[in-house]
Amino acid sequence: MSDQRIQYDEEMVGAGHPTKSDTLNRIMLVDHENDGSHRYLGLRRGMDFEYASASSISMAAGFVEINGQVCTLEAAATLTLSGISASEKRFLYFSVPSRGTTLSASEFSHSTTAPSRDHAKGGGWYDASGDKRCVGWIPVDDSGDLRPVRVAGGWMYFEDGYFMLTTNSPATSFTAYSLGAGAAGLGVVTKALVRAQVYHVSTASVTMQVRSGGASISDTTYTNIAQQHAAGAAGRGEGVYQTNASDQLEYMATSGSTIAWWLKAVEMVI
Amino acid sequence: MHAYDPMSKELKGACDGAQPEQSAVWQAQGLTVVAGSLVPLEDYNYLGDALTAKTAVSFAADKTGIAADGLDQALVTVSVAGETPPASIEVLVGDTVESLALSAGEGTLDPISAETPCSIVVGPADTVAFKGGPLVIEAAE
Repeated sequence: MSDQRIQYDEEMVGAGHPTKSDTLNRIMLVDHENDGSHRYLGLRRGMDFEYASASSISMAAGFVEINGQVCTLEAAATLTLSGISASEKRFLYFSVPSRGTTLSASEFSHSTTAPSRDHAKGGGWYDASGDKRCVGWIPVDDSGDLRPVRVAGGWMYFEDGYFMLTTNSPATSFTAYSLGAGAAGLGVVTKALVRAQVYHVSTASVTMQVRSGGASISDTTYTNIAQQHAAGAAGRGEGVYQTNASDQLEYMATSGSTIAWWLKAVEMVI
Repeated sequence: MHAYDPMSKELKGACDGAQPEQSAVWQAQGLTVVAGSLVPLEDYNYLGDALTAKTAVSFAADKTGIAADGLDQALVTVSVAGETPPASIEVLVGDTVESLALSAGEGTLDPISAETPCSIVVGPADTVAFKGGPLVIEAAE
């Protein structure tokens, strides 16, 4: 992850400026709330999930607190997501069982409606009714199939990478690029593991640079994510970057070239 | 979202979803930006102002290595895919563009030879409309 400290040539800008990015609080906000407390997502253990088919996921056993009750998914379960449509995100919810605290597919539901954070409930994410605890999300591709993903260790990994951009007319100054369907879109800062490639057939030295989203114009805290050192020999690289609250990173190429980048994994903020 | 050159109709960029900042970059470069899903640049163009798959061209040689004596020759056959292939195609042979008449989508280039060691690259001259190749003939002493 790139250096989040405020640099000597950056402006000192606090939160809430109408046009400029917050530089003073930038480093503190990594994994923290606005009140300085650690980001806490409410009691939950396990329940990682992965793609099982075009319309179902496999979720591991675990437990989660829902409205003050600790509910348990005692064994791995295959959960079906019916009625999904192309190019959308599906948020995964569990409600408290009508009897007991053992979760099953009966308590599972999914929706395109994003949850909101409820600090009164330990920081968990809940639907508008407040009865359904969100335990994750999964993107749907443009064919209407769930994207092949695996969730582990607080990250969602995209099998083969989620391809975001390919162009031989790249920006040559830092330009915002949204992770789009590759991020939950909950308005919170998150982290992304990206892979990039830069290529030019005749220019020996070309570089693709990436920096965290929302950096101020004078920010120099970028990373040379991919560099080509010999004409026609594509350069490749990977890095972890922090998005802004709009799920954006910023990229540029040092000169005309063909670039491409993929999202390999994104932090699960739910 | 797609960006293409309004003059050559070459697809210059593709990205997932609407990206306003990316769109602004492309428009500043004089490119035309339209809606579209992520596709490989090398497989499509915007001839006719609509996303169009490039016509596939394949090259086959009787040998890819020849003696650099001016006598040894390689014969390259060109095949254009599709139900209605063009009557001719321009092929880049080294630094020279050769117009090749096709019969049912197939044709054979003039024999390729070289008097000095070199690499002769063979491919479609029009890389906006066609994809395929390149085929490299190595001439060695």
